[in-house]
Amino acid sequence: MSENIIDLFKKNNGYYSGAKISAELGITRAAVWKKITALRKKGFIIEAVPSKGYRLVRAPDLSEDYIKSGAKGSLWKDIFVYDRVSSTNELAMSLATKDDLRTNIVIIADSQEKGKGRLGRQWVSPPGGNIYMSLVLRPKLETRDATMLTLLTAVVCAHAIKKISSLPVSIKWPNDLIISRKKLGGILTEIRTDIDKVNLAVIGIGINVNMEAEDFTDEIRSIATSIKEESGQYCSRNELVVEILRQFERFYNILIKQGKHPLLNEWKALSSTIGKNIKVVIGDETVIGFAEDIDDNGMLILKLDSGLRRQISAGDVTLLR
Amino acid sequence: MELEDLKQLIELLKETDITEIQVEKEGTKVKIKREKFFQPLEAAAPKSPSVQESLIKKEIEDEMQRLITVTSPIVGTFYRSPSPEAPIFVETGLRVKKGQVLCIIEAMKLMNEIESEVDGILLKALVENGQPVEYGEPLFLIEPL
Repeated sequence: MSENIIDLFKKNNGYYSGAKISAELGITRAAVWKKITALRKKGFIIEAVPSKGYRLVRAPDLSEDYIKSGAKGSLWKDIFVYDRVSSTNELAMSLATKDDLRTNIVIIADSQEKGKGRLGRQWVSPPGGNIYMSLVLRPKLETRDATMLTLLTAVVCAHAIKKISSLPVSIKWPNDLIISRKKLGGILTEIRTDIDKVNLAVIGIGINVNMEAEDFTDEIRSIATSIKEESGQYCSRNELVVEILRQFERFYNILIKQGKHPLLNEWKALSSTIGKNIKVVIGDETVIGFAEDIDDNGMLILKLDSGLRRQISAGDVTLLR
Repeated sequence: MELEDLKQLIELLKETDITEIQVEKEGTKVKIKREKFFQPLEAAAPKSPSVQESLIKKEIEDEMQRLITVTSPIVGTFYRSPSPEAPIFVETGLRVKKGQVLCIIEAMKLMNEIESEVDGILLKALVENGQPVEYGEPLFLIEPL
């Protein structure tokens, strides 16, 4: 359990002697040395100073050990970090559908070959700087309330990004993470249900973290941004993932214990859509109107010029200036 | 006259409209007669239009009961293919397997893949691609095999 040493380092930013580590973890000093060596092999920079001990200088940028340490004792039972996958949602869905009991799993990848977007669109997923993750849950939710999961995840990510980077993130209906009118991240959820209850939910989250403007394709540069582009500062993916997992547990418990309303209110407070004139593209149809509110399932209530109201369940929203 | 012969005579009566047979064999005379058991004439007459209609209706209802109606578990938008460019999941008239994806209902970027609950033939799609659907709205008719 190499994450135990990481826990110690995180508790105390200074030096830890080999003797102290061995006493706290109840293992021999030889075993301590072995674990330190294993962590270094995984990319952890651990300084060793005679008479002082060991000190964690830096964790690798996206580290399974580090994230597991941060999410210990939480809702999340299994956490896997991969260099490259086809799609985290696809991998999560295949893991979950093979075994009906598997749940509360987190799949994270440094890059995706075919990142999944809405309706077969691709989520551009180059390596080295972003977060692509999928959460597997079997929530005790009625099918008609399943849409709460997408609002919840948007609220969770917005809170986590704010906490780690202090950026004023907002949510564009239903769950795009927006800053400076550009997209910072997106969420795509896939569910399997009976007519009355949700059996499985795979929640895919993509956040542009340290990606530079020149790394974006021409196609998306004008509409996408990253945390680093906006804040000018490097952002730890490890810390952001851990924060997302923590916030998810917090808001998920609120949803299960207190119902939908606290969450709907959180969403509304973070929304940049409500109260705006917007354009919604629904398949071949374009609708323009005033985004009045969301209903109890998060559907958008659009007030048309005619004064009629229309409930929107799916579509691409653009804010009008 | 053997018992077997008698049996044959009775069978003959049953199979035809004849109501009375008289046979004489080796000095034994047998006469078999039966009461007419056909239904009264009026009942066998062609049924009145309303009776016939309700019979057809019942037949359709029976047929419909045999068919499986796939309904939408959520309010959302109905898609028959995974992306606008991709071929549709299942053409009408083709066989579907239990667990095979029939369509996607999207609500707020939550994609709900609807699977067939039975092996069968996809008889009819009841909603057009890209249309909004209500909770419980019928989407497909499947004839189970």
